[in-house]
This record gives sequence, C-alpha cells and structure tokens, in this order.
Amino acid sequence: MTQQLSDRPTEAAPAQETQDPVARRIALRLGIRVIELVGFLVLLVTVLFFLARVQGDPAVILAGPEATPEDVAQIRVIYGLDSPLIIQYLNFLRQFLLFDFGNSITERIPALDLAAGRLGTTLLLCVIATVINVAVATPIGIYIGGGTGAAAGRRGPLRRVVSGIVLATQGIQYYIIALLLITVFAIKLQVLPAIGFDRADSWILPSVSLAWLAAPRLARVVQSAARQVWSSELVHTATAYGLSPATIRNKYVLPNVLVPLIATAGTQFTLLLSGAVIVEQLFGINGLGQLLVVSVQNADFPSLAAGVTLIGLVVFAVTAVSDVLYRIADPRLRRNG
Amino acid sequence: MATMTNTRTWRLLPRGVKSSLYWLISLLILGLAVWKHGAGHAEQDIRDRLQGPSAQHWLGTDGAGRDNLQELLHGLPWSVEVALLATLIAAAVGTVVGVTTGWYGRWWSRAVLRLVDFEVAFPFVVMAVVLIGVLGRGTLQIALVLGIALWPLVARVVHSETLQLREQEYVVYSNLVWGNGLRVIREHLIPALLIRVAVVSAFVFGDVLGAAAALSLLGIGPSLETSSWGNMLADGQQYLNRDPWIALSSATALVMLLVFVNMLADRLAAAASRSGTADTMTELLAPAEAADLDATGPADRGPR
Amino acid sequence: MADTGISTGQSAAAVRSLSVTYRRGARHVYAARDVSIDIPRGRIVGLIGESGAGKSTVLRALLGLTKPTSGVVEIAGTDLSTVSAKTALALRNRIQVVMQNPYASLDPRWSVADSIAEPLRARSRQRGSEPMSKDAIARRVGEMLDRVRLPTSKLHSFPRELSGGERQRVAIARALSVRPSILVADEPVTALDNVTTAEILGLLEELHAEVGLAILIVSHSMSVIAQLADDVHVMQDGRLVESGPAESVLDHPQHPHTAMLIAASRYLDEWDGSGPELTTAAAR
Repeated sequence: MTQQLSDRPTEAAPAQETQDPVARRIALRLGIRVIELVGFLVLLVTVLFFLARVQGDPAVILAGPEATPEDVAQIRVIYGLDSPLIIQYLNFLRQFLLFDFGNSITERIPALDLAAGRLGTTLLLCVIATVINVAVATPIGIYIGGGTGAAAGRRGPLRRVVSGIVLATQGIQYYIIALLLITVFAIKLQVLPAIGFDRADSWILPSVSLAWLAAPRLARVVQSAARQVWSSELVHTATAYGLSPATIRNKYVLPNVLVPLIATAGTQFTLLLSGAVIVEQLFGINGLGQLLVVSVQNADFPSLAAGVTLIGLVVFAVTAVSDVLYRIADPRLRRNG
Repeated sequence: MATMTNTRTWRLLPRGVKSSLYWLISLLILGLAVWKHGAGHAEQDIRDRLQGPSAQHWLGTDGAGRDNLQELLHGLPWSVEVALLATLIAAAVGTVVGVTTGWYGRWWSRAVLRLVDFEVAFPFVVMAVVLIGVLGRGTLQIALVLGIALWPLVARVVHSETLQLREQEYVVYSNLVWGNGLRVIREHLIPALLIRVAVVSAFVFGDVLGAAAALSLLGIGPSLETSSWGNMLADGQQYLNRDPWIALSSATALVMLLVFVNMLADRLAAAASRSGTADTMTELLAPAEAADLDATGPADRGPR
Repeated sequence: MADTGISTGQSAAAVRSLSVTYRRGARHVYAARDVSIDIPRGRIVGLIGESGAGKSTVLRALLGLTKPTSGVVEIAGTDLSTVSAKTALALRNRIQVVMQNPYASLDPRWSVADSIAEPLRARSRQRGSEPMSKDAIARRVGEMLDRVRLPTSKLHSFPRELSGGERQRVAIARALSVRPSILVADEPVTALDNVTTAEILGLLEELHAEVGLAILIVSHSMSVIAQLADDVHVMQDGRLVESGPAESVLDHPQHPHTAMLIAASRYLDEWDGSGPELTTAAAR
C-alpha cells in the first residue's frame, strides 16, 4: 500500500519544483506513516481504556485497599471520574494526544517520565543484542551459505554440521537459554551476575539470551542470500575471469547479503523488544518491559498506556531507520529514489 | 457437491502432507491420553520436596513435593489446549480477514491491512501482556490474547495468496457465472487456501506453545492452581540454585515438543510447496511443450 | 428463457462507442477509445490486434469485468445500464466465455464433471430460473462431454491428467452447457500447438453450425481469424482501425495496420514451413 501511495505523484504547484523530489517523497511517506502510527496508537489506547473500565473501577484502584467509601467518592470527583464515560474518554484522548498520561498509580510520578526513564535500559539491551545478533549470524550465514571457488556448489561435512546446529538452535527458546546461562555462569561457575543490568559484565548474559531469539533466523536469511549470489551468473563470470574466491566474496557476496541483512535485522528489533520483556523479568532488569508487567499486575493504567506508546514510537523509529538504510544499501533503490 | 470436492481434495494431497497429518493426529491422541490424568496437579508430598532424580521420582520433585514426571503429564493438556484454541482463533480470524481483504480490495481492506502491518510491527509479547492485564488470566482469555496476537501472520499469507488466486482464470470464470463473491470464496478459494493455512497454523501452534510458557515466566500465565509446563518452568526458575531438575525437566520437555512441532510444520511446508509445483508451476511454465509432446493422450507428467 | 421485455433484433450483443480509461500517474490512458463492435446472431466475429491493442479491454467490458468509462454495452439489443440489475444478470447469462489459458481456466482440484457442472449449478441457483436436479445436471454434463468429443472415461479426470487440447474442450463444454446465445473466446488457441489449434478451431466451427451460436473470437493471429470469422474488426492502440466482412478486410485491407498484420502472418506461415499444410490437413 505504501508502494501505491508513493507511486502517486504529489499534487503540488509545478512552478516551484525547487525541492529534491526524492526528499519530498520520503517526507510525504514519513508523514503518512506518522499519521498511521498515531491512528494505531489511538486505537490501541482506546481498546485499553474501555477494557480497563470493564475490568475495574479506577477510583477504587486509585484509593488503594484501605480507603473508605468516602475516600473513593472524593477521588472520583478529584479525577473527574464522576462524569459520563464518554467525556472521561474524550478527556483521556485529549491528554493522550498531548502526551500527558497522568501520574503512575504506584510510583506517584508522571507515568511518561517513569516509562522514559526505563526506556534507556531496554534500548541498550536490545541494541547490544542486535550487535551480537549481526556479529554472530553474518559470518555463520556466509560460511554455511556457500563454498568458495570450485567448491561453490558443494557443502563439506563441517559446513553441514554447522547448518544443522543453526537449525537446531532455532528450536530452543531464548528464555530456556537464559535459564541455562544463569545456571552455568551465575550459579555453578559464579563468574557473571544473574541479576541487574548496571555493569558491563551484567550485560553479557541477558544480551546473549536475547540475541539467541534472533540469530538463528538471521543466519538462515544470510545463508540463503549468500547461496543465491554464489550460484548467480555474475559469480560464474567473475570466476571465469580468474578472480579469487576471497575477492568475489568481498566484492559480490557481501554487498548483496547486506540488503536482506539490514531488512531482517530491522524487523527483528520488534522481536527483540518482545523478548526483552521476558529477559528483563528473568534477569530482574528494571526496563520498560518490567514496568509493563508490573503495571499490569497493579492495574496501573497510566504507566501501561505510556509504556505502550513509547514502544510504538521506538518500533516506528527503528522501522524508518532500517527503511532508509535499506535504501542506501540497495543500489537499485538508490538510483530510482 | 462440496463434500464430493473435499474427498477429492484429500485424494489429491501429496503423500508428505498426508503423513504429516497422521503425525498430527497421533500427537492429538497422545494429548488425549494424557488428558485422562485430569487438569489438576500431581499428588504432592511436602516432605519429599526439591529432590533430585531417584528410583521413586525419575525426574525428581518440585517445590511442593510433586513428582516432576507426573507434573509434566498433568501440564501437557493445558498447554496443548491453549495452543490449539489460540491457533484455531488465529487461523479462523486470519483466513476470514485475509480472504475478504484479498477478494474485496476496497479502502477498508487497505485500512485493515495497515492495521495488520502495525500489529505485526508491534512486539507481540507487549501486546499479550497488556491484553492479559485487562482481560484476565483464564485459559480462554490467554488463548484469545495469543490468538489476537498471532492472527495477522495467517492473514498476511492468506491475503497474498488470495491476490494471486483472484487472477486465476478459473476464479475469474467462477465469479462470472455465479456473480457472487462468497460463493467463489467457498467453492474455489477456501479449498485452495487450506493447505497454506494448515502450514502457517502449524508454525503458529509452535509459537503459541512457546509464548504460553513465557507468560508463566512473566507471572501472568495461568493461575498457579493450573498445572502447565510454563508454570513448572517458572517454579523451576525460583529454585534454580537449589534444585535445577524442575527447570531442566520442564525445559527439556518444552524444547522436545517445540522441535517436534516445528519439524512437522517444516515437513508440511515442504509438502505443500511440492504440491504447488506439481499442480501449477510445471504446467504453467511448460504448456506448449506439454501439448507438443502429447496432443491427445493424458498429459500427466507431474514429478510423482 | 422467459420473455422479460427484452427487445429482439438482429444483434446478439454489441458495444457502442465504448471507451475505457485508466489512470497512470496524473495522465488518463485510453485502453479502448470509441470502439463499436456488433455481434450479429449466429455469426462469428473476429477481433484482431497486437498485444496491448485493447482487445481484452473490449472483451472484459462485454463480460462486465471492466466498467466502461463511457459508451454502451448491449445484449440482445438492450442497453445494460438502462435495465434493473436482475434483468442485466439474466442478459449476462446469455454470454459464456472460453478463456485464454487452458492450464489456468480449470480448478486443479475439480474433476472434469465438477467443472462442466459449475455454470449449470450456478444457473439453477439463480432466482427466476428453474432449479435443475443433480441427475439432470449429470445428464447434461455427459451430453456436453459427448458434444466436444471427449470420452466418458474423462469425466472423473483432473485437469493435470489432461492435455492442453482436452482442457480447452472441457472449457468449451463448460461454456456451452448452459446454452448461451453468445460465446466469447479469448485467444482460445494461443497456448496450443498447431495440431491442437486446428482441432479446437474445427470444433468451434462445428458447434457454431449445430446450434447457431454467435461467437466473438479474440486473437492476435490472422490465420485463426481467417479460418473462422465472418466479420473482422482490427484494433490498434485502443482504437478500431478497420471493420468489415472477412473477405473484404482480408483481401483488400484499407488500413495500413491491417495490411501489416496480414503480411506478418503470411511471412510467419511461410517461414514456419511445415505449419500451414499440417493445420489444414488436420482441420479436415
């Protein structure tokens, strides 16, 4: 659909065609994406809002377990919970669009500040995991994705073993790996901490566990891309010209693998954000995922809405960035804009 | 007429698909056998808690003194039940949405597709956490939430497949004579899509099994009275430093089940793509040749 | 078919001043521009042109698959846009179609019998037409198989067990099972080899003689048109460049594009060497 939208020429005055048309198209595309994102978030928080109301009276939750009925009634008035539901919803929506989620019920500070404070930890975790993911999956994928020179078509025994291992690792859930790593490195060997994310050595176990979620899949994407290049006419011709396998790998295979690599790693960031929720729980990391889980358990609606919104924004930003990178990496797209 | 077509569809299925289905059925029978253990926990004996493997307790005991092997058997039904329910929900919703958006390409179908895109882009554990938070932790709710989180995967596949089928001449013809899209969907599209939906559903089934266990780790899985592999794993996590056997046995069981399910899904996918090749690809790619070689006799030269 | 107040004239179907445009960027591109083609009762009308000339667009408009931008689609002398949806559907029922690609026009999951029965079942479900029993449908299917000279043993075959020519016969049987008054054939032999082409064209000619069907045959091949058509229409770039009786158009082309198409076809036939003799021999 975005394809269709971008194919449509913009209705603009032809007189002032001073701007770069490519930049304008990107801007237009970005604008549409932003509108869609806002629409999606509004839909999501709307569902949240009404579901939360079905589940429980917010005044009772706000007042806490020891409140008298008078306290609850007072809170109802203070927070505007005595007005009709639709008015409450519209108020909520207006505040939401102004990025005002109200105070967190458990922490008594603005929910957005609370969520934003946690965001850094989660992002760091995901970024380190992405680095590990790409650093591990790329060489492995290239290795199992094709031989060099005359052996291009054949797969040696070692290569077959490695690709078998990659296939098997895909079946093992990352949270099970996390438990395994904790048992081995934190409990038995006692060389790495099992809890927290504040020192560099405490980064290792959570990031490796999280990277496990994405790496096997990325390796297989790289593998199939590399295999395609190796069996292409281009490589046959280059081999016939007498180029060395290493040159072919650096000149032809790597650049062509880059495009699917970036596209996959970009979409995998979402996967990592999913996994981060669980990894944070297992390693006791005070990230955004933890905040969401705790907010759900405490019926802390403002924190929940703020956290979900921030995650939506992160996903959007990552998608946009990988989209741009993808365009830069792909020579065909670069030329056509 | 419809049932007639269905038995024919069965006859036409390639061997790989059939054997995968038999595997799936035997898995279900295993599930049913385990079901007889009932939904509750295994018997507990608090004096025997946190024991390693022994002749009496092959896989040791858990924090409440329950036999780990017994508990695994008690937990399987819940995990399978939730996964089946969620997969059914995802497959049903995904198929309906995918077919209708593919067939009726109007503005609203584009809007639905955008929603699908966003839902796919949105971390599904986050979505599940939030929805379970507001809906509750019952079996049905968990299945519903996981179904909601995963239906877009099915919808996407079905949608793109429908777009291709829509251009097929036999579908265009059928639409001409019936003048009724629902009829065409029922008679031609759904049977053509079934194998593809089965393949995606098999992958979704694996995803759901894994995700349901993850919810327990987050403390928002089924209530602790429910016996499930996820709850066992979460229990095992607590006692990781004193008795790793709880986590080890449940994790191993889960990995084995997931590998098994993924293997099935892979086989199903391979079989489906083979049948696709036999039915359409070779014939579409080499019609002239086929006719040249044999203009009058039967031209069955599928690779079988 | 019951009398629905549809006027009866000499025209089985027609398009008049038909234009179809689509948007490409900001520009409107004509797929068909002011095209008028008449398909008289019981005649075979050929529509010829190169790929992209607009033949398919005309055909799609006639079948109701494409909405005309302007102009009129008529069936049995009745402008479809002026009658109720129900009447329009009844009129559309008089047209049947044989599609271009015999390898895609039959559902691979359906047997020959199921495929031929599909329009019959559809017809019997429609309001205003009398329902057919299963037996009656089965009987009619057997009849049609005979009509297109396929052995009864093929009744429960699947498309992948049939040759291209056999599939096209099934498609013709399917189209004629509901006794249409107009048959539209979209490049019916393009995907077939020479021998099978001759067989299929011969079959169409026979059926035409037997039931007095009006046929619109769309092709890019002049020799196909020359063999069958009574009237010929030539299209180029969305416009009709020449129309008339087959003999006059083929023997004395007025428009240079027609002359070019004829010359090209002659050249190919001669160059093909064994082609023409085989075609004529098999057609007899």
